[in-house]
Amino acid sequence: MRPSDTEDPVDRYARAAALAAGLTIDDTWWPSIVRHLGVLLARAASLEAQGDPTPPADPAPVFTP
Amino acid sequence: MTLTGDRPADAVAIADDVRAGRMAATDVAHHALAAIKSGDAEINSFTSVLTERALLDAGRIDESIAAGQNPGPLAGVPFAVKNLFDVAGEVTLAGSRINADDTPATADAVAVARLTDAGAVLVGSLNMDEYAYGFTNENSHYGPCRNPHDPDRVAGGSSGGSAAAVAAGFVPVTLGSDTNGSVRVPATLCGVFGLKPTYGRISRRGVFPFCPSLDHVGVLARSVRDLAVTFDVLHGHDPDDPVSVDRPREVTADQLDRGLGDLRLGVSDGYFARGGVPEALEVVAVMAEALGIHRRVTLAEAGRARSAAMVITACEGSQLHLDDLRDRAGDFDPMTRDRFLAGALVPASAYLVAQRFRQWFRAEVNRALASVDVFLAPATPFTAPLIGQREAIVDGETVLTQPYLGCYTQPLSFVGLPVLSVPVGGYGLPLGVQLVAAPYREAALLRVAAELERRRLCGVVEVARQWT
Repeated sequence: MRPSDTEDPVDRYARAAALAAGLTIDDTWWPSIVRHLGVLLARAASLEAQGDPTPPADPAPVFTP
Repeated sequence: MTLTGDRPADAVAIADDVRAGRMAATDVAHHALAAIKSGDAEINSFTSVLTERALLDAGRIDESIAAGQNPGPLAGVPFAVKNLFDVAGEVTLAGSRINADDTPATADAVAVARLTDAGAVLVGSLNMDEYAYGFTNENSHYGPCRNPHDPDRVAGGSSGGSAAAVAAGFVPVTLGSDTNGSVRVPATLCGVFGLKPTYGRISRRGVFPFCPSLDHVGVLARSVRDLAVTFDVLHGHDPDDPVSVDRPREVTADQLDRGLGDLRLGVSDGYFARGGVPEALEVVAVMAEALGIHRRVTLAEAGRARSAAMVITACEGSQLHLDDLRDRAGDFDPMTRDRFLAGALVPASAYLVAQRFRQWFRAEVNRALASVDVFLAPATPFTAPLIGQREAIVDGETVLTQPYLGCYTQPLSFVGLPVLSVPVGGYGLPLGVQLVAAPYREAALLRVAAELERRRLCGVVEVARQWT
């Protein structure tokens, strides 16, 4: 399936990103990958609204407990 | 291995007997190897058994005792390690088929070396989820690790072999790793103790990484005193591990008899008081009531912390395997492969927002921990699922069994807190409670666990069947 064959934005993004990253993905793997990616993006989006993380003092903080 | 009595001996008892000359380390090693041979065909906790090395090392312990030397606090104690720890002369599989093509490790991981320097005897490497990415240890390459309490059920993961080998009585102590709960989940499901120390407290040098900003080395054992003695041997600064913390070592084993003293105890509420089957929450309430705990601890946005942990795990984990995902994706376990591929496609902005959230959450957690020394939380949302069981019902909702097993562990390891999971029996299959403290307060956790064990509010859940 080519990127233009789907209307799902996560699916379209995933196929384009995989192409750019040099990842060759079997057609049968896509539904599972897109499902996992959709969950990750939704979880990341849920973090945007939380707390006071912006503007970050350190844009890429190194974690220490 | 029972050695004496009708229950498997713990590490401290074995070491005492070996040091005192009541038992030869070689006999202990033979006993452990026989138990593994007798029982592990059914449990599948070991991926390699190091008979020759174990007997050689045990022989050296016996020689040193005969020469009047003290071989250390773990003299003659058989142990085994999750197969992501380097073992000299062995290939570090990390649960994968891909790594089987690697050359053997040239040296032991630091954690393995510290245990052997303390007299312990390595007997083998243990089953795990591929690249530690899972909570059930249903490994498609090496087979599922089975729960000794019910071999039709999972042992938990990703350190499933580490938990099952202790529960089955093959060895009293094992090493595992914990990124999102991979020591605490299997320890709970198999009914043994699990300690995930503070991030950076035990060297990870020679341990195959999963998600570097979340990975911890942990210990699984039959008793609290075994955890303490093993932790005392393991922790300490390693200048060659970039995340190792440079703090003074402390002895926790001699603090176990101090009781609760003036420790301020609390019990978690909010996120941690829902989302599990009633029994999983009840074990916490029963323990809190028995200890007279009334102080409540609320970790704001713990659910979002779990989300951020998932994003960071997927991103960092996938980056480590990008070349193999490009060149030989078909050689991964399908469950691991699809999640790594999804992680490789997550935009950098998502990763960064998760790391920024982590800083915010860490401040929130430290604020909550200012008024309490140790608090209780559930360990898993339910008991061990059946092998192959994909869904479970919690609060009338259908959840995916495998990822949901980590719902209570992920928000805590996310900010590197030390956590000790204590096993609780009496519910058919084992359940557990997490004891949580501020960074570097492992001694307080071990004191509370020792008191709980003394009062029989927790304790290793014995398997009905013994393999000797």
